[in-house]
Amino acid sequence: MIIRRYDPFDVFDRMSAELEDWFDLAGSSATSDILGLYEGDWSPKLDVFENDDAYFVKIDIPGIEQKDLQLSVSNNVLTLKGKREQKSHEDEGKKKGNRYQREERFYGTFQRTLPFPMPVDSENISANLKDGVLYVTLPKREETKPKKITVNVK
Amino acid sequence: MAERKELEKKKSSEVAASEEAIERFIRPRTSVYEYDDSVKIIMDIPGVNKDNLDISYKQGELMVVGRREKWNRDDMKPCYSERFDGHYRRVFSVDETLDARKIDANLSQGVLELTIPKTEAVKPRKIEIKSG
Repeated sequence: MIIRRYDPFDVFDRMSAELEDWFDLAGSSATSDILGLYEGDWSPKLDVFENDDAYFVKIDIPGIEQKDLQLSVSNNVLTLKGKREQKSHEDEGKKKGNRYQREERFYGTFQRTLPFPMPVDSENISANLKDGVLYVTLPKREETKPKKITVNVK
Repeated sequence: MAERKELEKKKSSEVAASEEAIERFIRPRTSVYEYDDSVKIIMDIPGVNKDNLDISYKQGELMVVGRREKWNRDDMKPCYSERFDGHYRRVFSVDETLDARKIDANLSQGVLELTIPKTEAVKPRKIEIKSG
């Protein structure tokens, strides 16, 4: 028997965590199937930024090796495929019966497709994997970059 | 299970009061596995490197704080966002059956693995029977 401090606000923390999980679920299975945007067991989260020259995509893919990643661009659509393996010691814990106490992390395959509204220069895309985050830079094509037109007023 | 080890998330009230007002935190996704001689906590903290990770233990509370560096420059404007842009924090209560002074931490590819050995008293022991 362990005596723990009673925190009357703990229930709110748990509630917000539950809600957060709900939203995560909404992104991973139910809605994704309808939209057909991504397939797989889970769905990594991403952010997109842009400036005048390029799009910048940042994708959270913790624990994924470079060899398990596949990145491609065709018809202005970026596709990221990958797989997160469940490590052997994790399996081991499960095999021993009720030995794991908590499992919130996702495993298995994932796929994300991301269309861009403006043509990207598919020859010059760069990607960099660091600390479990994949950074992709997609330069915009010359003709789509904003141009400054000077108007001469007579 | 009545004897379940209490490793549940718990919020440290002093942290909540001092830090939460200025910084936004999220709870990283975590798996907890129990072995005969230890407990393993595995957390997904993408974007955190060794220098921005802070693991501390105080009065039965194990706190992990990971900070993410801002990546986007000022000239980049966000056009689509799913990720919560904050830091990671999670607090576990560690009872006396675990030896928190011998925590082993390993960070690789945004995944943090904490191994906490059990104290000798609770490790399974084989008892030899003497005949004679």
